[in-house]
Amino acid sequence: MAKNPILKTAVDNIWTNNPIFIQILGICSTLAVTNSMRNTLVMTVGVALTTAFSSFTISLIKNLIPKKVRMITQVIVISFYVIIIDILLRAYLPEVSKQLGPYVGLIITNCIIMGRAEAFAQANPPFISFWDGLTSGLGYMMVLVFISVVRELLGFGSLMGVRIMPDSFTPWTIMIMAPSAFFIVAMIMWWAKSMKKPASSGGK
Amino acid sequence: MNKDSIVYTVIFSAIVCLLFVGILALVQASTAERVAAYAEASRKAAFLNSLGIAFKDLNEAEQLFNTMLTPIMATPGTEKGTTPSPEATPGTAKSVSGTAKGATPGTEKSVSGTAKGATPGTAQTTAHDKQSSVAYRAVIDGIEYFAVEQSGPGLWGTITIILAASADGVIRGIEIVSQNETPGLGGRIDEPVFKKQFVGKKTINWKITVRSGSEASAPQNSAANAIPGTGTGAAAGTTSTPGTGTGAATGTTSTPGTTKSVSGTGTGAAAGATSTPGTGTVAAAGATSALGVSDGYIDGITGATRTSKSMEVIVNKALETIRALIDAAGGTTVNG
Repeated sequence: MAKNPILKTAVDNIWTNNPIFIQILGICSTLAVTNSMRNTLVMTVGVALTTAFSSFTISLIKNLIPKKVRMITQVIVISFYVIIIDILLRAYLPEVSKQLGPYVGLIITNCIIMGRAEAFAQANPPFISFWDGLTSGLGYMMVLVFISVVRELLGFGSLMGVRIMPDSFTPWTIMIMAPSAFFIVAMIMWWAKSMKKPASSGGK
Repeated sequence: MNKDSIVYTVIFSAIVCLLFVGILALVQASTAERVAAYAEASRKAAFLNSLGIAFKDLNEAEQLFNTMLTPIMATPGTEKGTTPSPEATPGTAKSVSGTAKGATPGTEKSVSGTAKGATPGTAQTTAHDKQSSVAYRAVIDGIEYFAVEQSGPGLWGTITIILAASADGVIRGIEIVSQNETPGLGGRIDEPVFKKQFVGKKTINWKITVRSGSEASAPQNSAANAIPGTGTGAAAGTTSTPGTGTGAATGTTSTPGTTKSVSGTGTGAAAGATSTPGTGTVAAAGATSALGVSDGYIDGITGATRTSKSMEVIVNKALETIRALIDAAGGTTVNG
C-alpha cells in the first residue's frame, strides 16, 4: 500500500478497511435509506461531512478531554454537527429538509462517526482526522449509492425519481423493503472479499 | 491541574456543554424567523394545492391565498342564511330533534354526532390541534369548496393534511403538510402518485377507504392505534354534557370491533349517543354496508399498511369536519 499517509488513509477507508463491507458499521442506515438514490446521496453526504468535522473537532480538543468523559464528549460534538446541519437545512434548504425528514437526525446514530472519532481522531492530529472522516464517509457513500441504484431501479423502475425502466417492467416489491439491502450488502461483501488477497478471510 | 481529577472533569464537561449548546441555541434563534416564515408560506401553498389552484412560487401562493380563500370563522356574517353562532349550531343541524346538547341522537346519528363534536365553535372541530382558523372556503369555477387542516397519528408521528372537498362530498384534492413516515415507504404518501388518487374522488357517505394489499382485511394495528385519538376528540366534544359518560364509553369500546373505515362514524355516534347507547352500533352497521361500493376507494402505499390506514382515518376525520362545516353553513349536505 502507499507510503503517503494521506493516500494510505484514503485507500484504507475506501477499500482495505471499508466501513460497510469490512468493518460492517452503519448497517442500519444502509438498510433504511437505500431504496431511493436521492435520499441515499444526501444521507451519505451528511454522514461524510459530520464524520469529517466531528473527527476534526475531537482531534483538536483530544488533549483536553478527561478519560472519564471521553465518549460523552464525542457524542456532544457529533450531535452538535448533526443538529447544526439540521437547522441550516431547515432554514436555507427547506425543500431538501422536508424530503429528508427524520433522516438528518438519524445521522447521529451512525456507528461510523463514533467509530472514527474513537479509533482515529483520538490519536491523530486534526487535519488527517478530518481527511480520515471524509474518506470514511466516501467509502460508505460508494457502497450505499451502489446499493441504492440496484434497489431503486428494480424496486421502483426509476433512478433519482426519474423513470428508467419500460412501462412493462414489474417493480420488485422486495427491493423496496429492508431485506433486499441485506442480500445486496452480503453480495458486495462476498465480491469484495473474494477480490482481496486470501489473507483477509474472516469478517463477522 | 490533574486532567483526571473530578474538578477538572466537571469543569471541562460544563464548558463543553455550554459552548456547544450555546452555539446551537444561537444558530437556532437566528434562523427561527426564516423557518417560521417558510412553514407559514408552505402551509398556504398546501391549501392552494389541495384546492387544485396552480401557482408559480411561494410569493404568488401568498397572494392567491389571500384573494381566493375565505377563512370560515373569520367571516361569520358572509355565510348564507342564519349565521350559526357556535352555541346555536346543534339547533341548525336539521332533523336533529333535541336542542339541548345532550339530546342530539336523532335519526341521522352519525351526522348529529359529528356536528355536536364540532359544536363548540364549528370550525374549531380541530381546536385541540390549533386554535387558529383551520378551515377555508373557496369558490373555483362557480363551485364552492371547503378546505380543512387535519392532524392525526401516523406510524412514527403526527401526519397533518389539508383536504378540500365540495358540498356534494367529492374530494377536490389533498396535500400533506407534515409527516414523519418512513422515507421511501410510508413517506410516499407525499408523492403525487398517491395524492392524485384523491382528486375528484367520490366519497361514500363522506368516507373513503384505503386499500392496502393483502393486509386490508386485518388492519387491527393501525386502526386500533389511530382510534384513541378519535376517541379523545369525541370525549372532548361531549365532556360538557351531563351524563355523557356512558355514551362516550359505549361508542369508544364498540369502535375497535368494527371495520376500520368506520372509526370516524363510530366516534361521531359515540359523541351523540348520550342517551342511546345503541346508536354506535347502528352507525357502524350503516358504514359497513357501504364498503361494498367501488367509489371511495384509495390505493394505499405498497409495504406501508399502517401509514395507509392512518391516512384513511385522518382523511375521514377531515371529511367529517367538512361535512359538519357544510351542515353548519346552511345544511346543504347530500346525505349519502
